Amino acid sequence: MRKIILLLCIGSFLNVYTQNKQVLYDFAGLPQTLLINPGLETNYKYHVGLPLLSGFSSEFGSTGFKVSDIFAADNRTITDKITSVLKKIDARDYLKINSQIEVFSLGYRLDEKTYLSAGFYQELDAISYLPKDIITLVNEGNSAFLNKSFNFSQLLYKVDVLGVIHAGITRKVNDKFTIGGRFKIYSSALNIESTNNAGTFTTNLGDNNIYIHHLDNINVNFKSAGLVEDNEYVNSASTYLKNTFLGGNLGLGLDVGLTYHITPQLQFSSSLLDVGFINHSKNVKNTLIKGSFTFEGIGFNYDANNVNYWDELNTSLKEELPTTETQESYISWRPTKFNAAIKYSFGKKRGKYCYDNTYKNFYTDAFGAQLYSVFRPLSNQFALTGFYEKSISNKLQTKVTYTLDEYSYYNVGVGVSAQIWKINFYGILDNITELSDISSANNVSLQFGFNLIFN
Amino acid sequence: MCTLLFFCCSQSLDFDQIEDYAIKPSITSSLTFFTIDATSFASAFGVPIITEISETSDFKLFENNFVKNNLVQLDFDIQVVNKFNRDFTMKILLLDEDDNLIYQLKDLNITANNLDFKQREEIVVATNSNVINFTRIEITLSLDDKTTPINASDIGEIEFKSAATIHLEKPL
Repeated sequence: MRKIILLLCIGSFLNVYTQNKQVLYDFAGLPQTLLINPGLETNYKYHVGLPLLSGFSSEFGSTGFKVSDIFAADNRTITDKITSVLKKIDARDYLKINSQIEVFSLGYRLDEKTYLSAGFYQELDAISYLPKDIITLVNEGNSAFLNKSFNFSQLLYKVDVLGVIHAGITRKVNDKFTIGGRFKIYSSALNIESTNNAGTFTTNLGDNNIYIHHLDNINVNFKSAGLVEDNEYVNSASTYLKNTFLGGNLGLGLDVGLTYHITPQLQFSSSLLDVGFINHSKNVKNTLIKGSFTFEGIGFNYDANNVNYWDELNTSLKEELPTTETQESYISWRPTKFNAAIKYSFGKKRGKYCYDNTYKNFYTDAFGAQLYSVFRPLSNQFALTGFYEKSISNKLQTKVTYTLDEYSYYNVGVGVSAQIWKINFYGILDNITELSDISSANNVSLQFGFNLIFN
Repeated sequence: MCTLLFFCCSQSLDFDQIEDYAIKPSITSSLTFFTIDATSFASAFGVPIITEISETSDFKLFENNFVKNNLVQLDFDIQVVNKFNRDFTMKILLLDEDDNLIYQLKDLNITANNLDFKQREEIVVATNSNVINFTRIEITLSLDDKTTPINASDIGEIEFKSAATIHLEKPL
């Protein structure tokens, strides 16, 4: 169990970024589904999420290697294992973490057609592509890599710690069509990122000296907001937490979604989430290194002039490849996500007690397909999911998914939603085929929560 | 769901083994170079003949604490092309900031017309711990036969090239 907890912790620290919640999407009419598509239909009068317990989700994912590739207790040395992993990865591989905790959430049906929902959640969201060239340079140096260009464009990471205050509206246009939107205020406690970098470092055989080193077209930036205050790092966790509630750098965002019944049994739904930005203006520290520099050593003159060669070298380095620090504000875009689903319902019809004191019929079974995409710095990432949903009783619903994504081609997820009196509990676990050895999984995620739902 | 979580497990992992891992970069950098001809040894009228020339420069490789604290070996590679019909000896001294001698590389005995002189010296820090205090380098070139000066009109030149490789080892 300790190992499981450790792995989950590693997951939480290494890999948080926009999570694909394919099991939760349009599942059992849960209030949390409105955060994935504000245009989904609900049938209750109001809901209240249990504070801090209504929605928790965490995901760890890596491509190119697995935890067990490095930490398996086998007879290989750690050096061999890391060398093997470094050979295997490329610059498109990445580590990501996404963790979200709902602090509070509530919803209220304004009228027959309109449901309002609002809440506040905190999110840790991080992705780092694996800059293979830079890792190689740090790990092995340049000696064995004559003529190799180490590429700084591979340096690409983004970490966000933020709070999101949101309010949404779901509006039934007619029996077939429901639309929804959610307005978000982001409060970023921490943003560190380095994107759109360029430049290479190359060592060649030289003419005037044994080697010549080229730093060509370097354009490397490091941006941070919330990390440094008055030239000192912010070390207090409470400061970060406090800043997630309107105390940090603020931004705005929007979710939109819809549901359309093509036939009484065939439904299409889609959403676009986190179309928004954060303006980072407080506690900003940016560093930019830009220019080109060629170095082939210090050329001695052997003349009467007492030249300070080292100072001359430093001066030309600073002139040709300056490092600039600024506190200029900058904008970071939220990672926008897209969901689309087609769902066919069938099986027995059951009556369900609804907000308007009527019983509505629904089918006990459904299957369909979902598409998920997230706009990432290097390229969009996609996941295609097939699902089967089964309502075992009015109070107990289940969903099984099979997802193809860049982590695996056999990701099976399960979800259960149960209601006892007014208390709803849901739990979702992804990649269950890897549960026998989660250290060998490229992706692990779970979600759970408690709500009070009133019909 | 809790049951599922309870039964999930992992193969045997050993996170402590990361303590056995160290990054071991070997970083090669050009050092000094020069090309000199007979004029460097020619003296003005009435001035004693020049049989030895010297040049010094700061070379603050170890100002960086990371490099200084994790250095395990320092290699010097030297290449010389001697187009003079004369034998030379070259001395390379590693000095601290007050010009105190930290380490002297083996003398380079360069024979006349040797167009492919190469010398490599490896300094292991464990046995030469003072080498990390080197901040300046002095290169002195002297004629072996000091009784016969080089005239400005003599044909020939010396090309000198050098590089250093620093081997670091830093546990994670």
